[in-house]
Amino acid sequence: MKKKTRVQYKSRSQTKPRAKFKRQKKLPVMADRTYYTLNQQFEFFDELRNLILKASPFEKDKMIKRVSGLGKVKLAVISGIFLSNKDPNVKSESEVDLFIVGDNINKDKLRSFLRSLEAEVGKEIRFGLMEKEEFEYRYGMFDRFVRVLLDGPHDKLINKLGL
Amino acid sequence: MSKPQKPYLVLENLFNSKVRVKMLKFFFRSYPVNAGIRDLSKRIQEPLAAVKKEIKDLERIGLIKKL
Repeated sequence: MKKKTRVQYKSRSQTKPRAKFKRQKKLPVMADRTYYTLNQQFEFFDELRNLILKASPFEKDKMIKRVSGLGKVKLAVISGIFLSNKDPNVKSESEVDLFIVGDNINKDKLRSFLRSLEAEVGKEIRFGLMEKEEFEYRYGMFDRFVRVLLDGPHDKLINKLGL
Repeated sequence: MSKPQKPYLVLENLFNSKVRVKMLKFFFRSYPVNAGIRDLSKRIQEPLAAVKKEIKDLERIGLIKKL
């Protein structure tokens, strides 16, 4: 008897991975029926828009703290959306908003960090991650992605590579 | 002497509703965008009830409209 239940328990836990549990939990959430959008005819539409886009999308100190807590971060560069407030007319060419070079990055922490950052900023964040070795290789061979980012408007939050 | 100036989230403190500011940021930064209440609540990570209330207010003043 004892043996049987044990076997059953084992097989059950094997057929039900955690991911499946999560998906089942999310099912009862109903889809939205009503959708909302900005009304361009609003009296202060342009004024409000300028105000919001100009305001800083993040707190730098807080961000540096959180990024350095992700792992052995050697380099963290912001660009794109994070700098758009300085001059909204200058469109950044860079393909990422946040770029991190580091080893042993905690993926779970990273995911939740990005999620909360997106909630704060109000927009999807284009993100790049590289290990130190890969970055140095690419940097050495003037890789286009790395060059566009570092030649364009950007801000280094963390810089332990002496760039 | 005045306090040392720290980089501060001005909007969040200028307006008294953090949820509302987050919604405005979302709508304007990703403009043009359509979003439902649930979707919005998930994106800005704020409770559904709070989002519902702000949506109602913003719709009343005509800043946002139903599709």
